[in-house]
Amino acid sequence: MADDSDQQATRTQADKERSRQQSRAVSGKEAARGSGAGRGSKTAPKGTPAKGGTGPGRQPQAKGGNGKGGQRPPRYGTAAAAPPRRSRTALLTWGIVALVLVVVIVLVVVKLTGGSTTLAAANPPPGPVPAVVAHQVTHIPASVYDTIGVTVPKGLTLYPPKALHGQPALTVDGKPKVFYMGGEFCPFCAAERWAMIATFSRFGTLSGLKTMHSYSTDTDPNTPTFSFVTAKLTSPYFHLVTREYYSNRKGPSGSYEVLQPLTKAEQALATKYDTSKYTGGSTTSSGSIPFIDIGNKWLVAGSSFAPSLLAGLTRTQIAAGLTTTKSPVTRAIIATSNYLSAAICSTTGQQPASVCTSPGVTAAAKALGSHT
Amino acid sequence: MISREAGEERGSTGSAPATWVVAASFLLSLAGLGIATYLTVAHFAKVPLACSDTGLVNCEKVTTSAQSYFLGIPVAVLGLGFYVVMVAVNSPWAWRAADRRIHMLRLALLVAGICFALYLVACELLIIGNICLWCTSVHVVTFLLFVLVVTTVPPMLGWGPRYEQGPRAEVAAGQGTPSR
Repeated sequence: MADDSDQQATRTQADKERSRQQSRAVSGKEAARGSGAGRGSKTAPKGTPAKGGTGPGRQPQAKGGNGKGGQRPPRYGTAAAAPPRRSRTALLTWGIVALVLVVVIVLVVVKLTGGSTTLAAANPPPGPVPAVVAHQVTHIPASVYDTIGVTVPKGLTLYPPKALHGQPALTVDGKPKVFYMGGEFCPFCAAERWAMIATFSRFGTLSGLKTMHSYSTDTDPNTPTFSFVTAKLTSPYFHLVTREYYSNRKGPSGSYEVLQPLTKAEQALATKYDTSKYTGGSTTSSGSIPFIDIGNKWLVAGSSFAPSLLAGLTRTQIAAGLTTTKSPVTRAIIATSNYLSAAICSTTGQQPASVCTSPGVTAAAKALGSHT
Repeated sequence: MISREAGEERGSTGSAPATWVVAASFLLSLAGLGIATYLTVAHFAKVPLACSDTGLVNCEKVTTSAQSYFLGIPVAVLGLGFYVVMVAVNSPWAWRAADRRIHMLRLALLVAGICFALYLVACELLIIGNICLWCTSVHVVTFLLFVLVVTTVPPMLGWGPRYEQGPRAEVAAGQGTPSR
């Protein structure tokens, strides 16, 4: 028993010595060399294990660390397993950052190469007008015109046509001529066309209307409207000429493309009368569109009401609401139409009487001072 | 498992952020707050921004576009609110906070912020057709913050590698004593 006891004590002593040697190898100079100048290595006394450094936590140090100065190896897992985890996470992190950059680069590339295509999709070409909408806007009951007259809600400002005095009459084949110049991109033209269509339809048959909305990134973007690019009025009372000078497409220079160039006579007309001298306002208002010349007796330069009034409404909603006399949108459109009708009536000898002597138009003529 | 869980229960973090990260994120947040304040004031005071209005760069067109509102709220106001919170969560005190939720909030806000910035860049380039330099500078600040936070916070939360296993984590884990 004593021998056994001595042998056991010797073995235990030997084991302790072996263990101490191993400990020195791990946490002493070897460890310090292997793991670099990490915090643990710096603070642990040479030749003694770092406190709390028993168990699995020592394994990475025993294997010589990760070779990165100033960093202790991960406590958990083996040193062999740590690098892949680190690189995977770093890869994921930087991958997300790279993804953000890639998205930005793609957006820039799309802008530079296909941006015009995208905007073209946002600004489609003129399309056919649904029959229901066409009927609603060209067949507004006379009672609506007469009920509204020129009264609009408070806060809504209308700009009636401006009288032109002492100018030669604008006629075609003996009939008064109404000349319109606008642009498909133009939100002010977009607003004005609603009243123009309603007005022209009272004097004849308006055909060839196309759907349109103002440019998607201009002021009052996407104002729903129609294009006059193929419009034609058949009327015994006056002759209508429409020019959508600009399209709703932008060219490489960033300017709107010219859609319907003016003739020399039309150009001369616009150059002469679409100026502040005749249209009023400041000099900066020269060249405004929409520009409407009603027989050289009345001028409209700029929209009669703000296009923002139509914001958020679809073409179908506006058209369907044209019989609702309490609607501010309808009141603005109809009152403007009455003003235009009164102006046209003053050039047609108050014909047709059904329009020109109607209460709504009479009220507008009175307001204009044109009922002579 | 010593562990992350043990540390998490006490609100400890896996690793402390570098001092320069704390300083940079705080300064960037202040810069973002300054620009967002300027954009908000310009929005409500109807004051034109000090910016070009010709060519690709057109601040006026961008800040008055339909896309300058998001869910009925001016984007400038959203940016101001975002950066007020950013300054708070990127302050040195917040970076030192033991509460993990602050760090998670910082990360979540920056992820949402960069997504919204990408949306706005897409609006500028693809819908409006112009870019606003002031807005772009906010986007750049947001991106830099995003890079800082996304590379710093996950390791702090113990989601990524533990570059440093600090003494505090060992104490929190209840395993032995700190090495000094």
